[in-house]
Amino acid sequence: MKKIKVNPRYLILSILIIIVVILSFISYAIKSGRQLSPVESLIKDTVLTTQKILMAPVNFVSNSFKEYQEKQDVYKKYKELQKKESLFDLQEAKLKEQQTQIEKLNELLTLEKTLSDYTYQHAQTLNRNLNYWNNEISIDKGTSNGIEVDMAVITNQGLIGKVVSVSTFTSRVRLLTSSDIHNKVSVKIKTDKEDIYGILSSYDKENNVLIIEGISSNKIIEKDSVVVTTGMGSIFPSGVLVGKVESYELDNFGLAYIVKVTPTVDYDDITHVTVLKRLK
Amino acid sequence: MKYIIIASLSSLILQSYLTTILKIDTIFYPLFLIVNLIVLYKYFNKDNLKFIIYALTMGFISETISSNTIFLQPILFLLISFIVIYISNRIEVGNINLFLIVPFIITIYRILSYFILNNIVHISITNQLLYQSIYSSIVINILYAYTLNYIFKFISNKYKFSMYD
Repeated sequence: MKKIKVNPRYLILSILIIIVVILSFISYAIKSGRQLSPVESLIKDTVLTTQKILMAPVNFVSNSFKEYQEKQDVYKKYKELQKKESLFDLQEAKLKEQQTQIEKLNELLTLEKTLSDYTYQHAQTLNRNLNYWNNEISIDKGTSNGIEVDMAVITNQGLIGKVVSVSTFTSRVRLLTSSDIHNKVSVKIKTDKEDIYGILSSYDKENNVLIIEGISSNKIIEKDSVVVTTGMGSIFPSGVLVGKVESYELDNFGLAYIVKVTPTVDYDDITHVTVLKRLK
Repeated sequence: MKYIIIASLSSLILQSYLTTILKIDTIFYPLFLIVNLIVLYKYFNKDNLKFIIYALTMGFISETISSNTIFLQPILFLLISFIVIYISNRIEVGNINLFLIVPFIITIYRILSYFILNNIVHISITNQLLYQSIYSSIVINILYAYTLNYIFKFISNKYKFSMYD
């Protein structure tokens, strides 16, 4: 058989071109938020659904054990709730009054829906993503459950991220801890005097704090103030808890504050989530 | 070959499940598909081409399930498969050296992944995260490597046939 002679220079050049093309593809795929092809979607749904079925007995035993442990603390919790009950009636009356006021104000403004109107879809975490350094999770709800790209995702502790891709039975959620530049969230710091608006721009993994930027230096920020979403930007509904102010400092130019926020969510331990669908 | 497929699918599902129930910051971060490449190479009877196809397939499935980057995991799996072939052709991978080879391969996998994501895709990952990702993956994967190695040795000795058939 005749051997084909290849000039080593051309061979190296070809390999380099192939590497550059492949790396460009990877870069494009990550940055553009490419949607899954039908084949990829089918493979993902099949494996994750199989995993869900096979692990159901394990989850059942694990949940039963957790339930048993929780039952041990019931009496203690009951006593604590008894103390809180005395305040409950007072707060309920206050809440009703405020609800009535909001409804009247909405009528006055002829607003049918507010920025905080949304419906819920509960889901279970199926796995965490290796490529994004654990900053993405897969959940067991997809287009068949009405999930769409860009829907906000929360836990009972607060906001965790948004849906970035969906298949028929599963979805991928990018967490707020991701270093994705498109993952910025409009938030407000609720102080006693006013709401201070800013942009939640990044996450400091070493100190476990979220960073808020774009707050004018003439604002007065209070430590431990609650940080919630503003509802601006059409993805995240308003009033979803993000965290509490831990500290703040002026930026290099002395013009704006950089605020560090302790997240209320433990991003390393997410098992159940809720997808929020804002009413259109 | 069917045992390799069963082991791979089991590893895939177990890895996927464990990432949800184990805290990431602990020392139990599973990379079972990478461990599979290290332990199962000898059962391919030195058929390197089939082993590379196997590595690429596993990379592609891993990519589809846990990511959306088209080529990243297949490329990483391919590179790791070359390293595994190189090592396995020089020393016998077994109980004596698994506790050294597994951390070595995991370190290379993490560094390659870090390099591509940080320098080419520009996803900012700190050095501290890289160290953490390496040491958090070592203990559980060494344990898994020994378990898998033991199971495959047991089956091959008991039934006296090659896993590859």
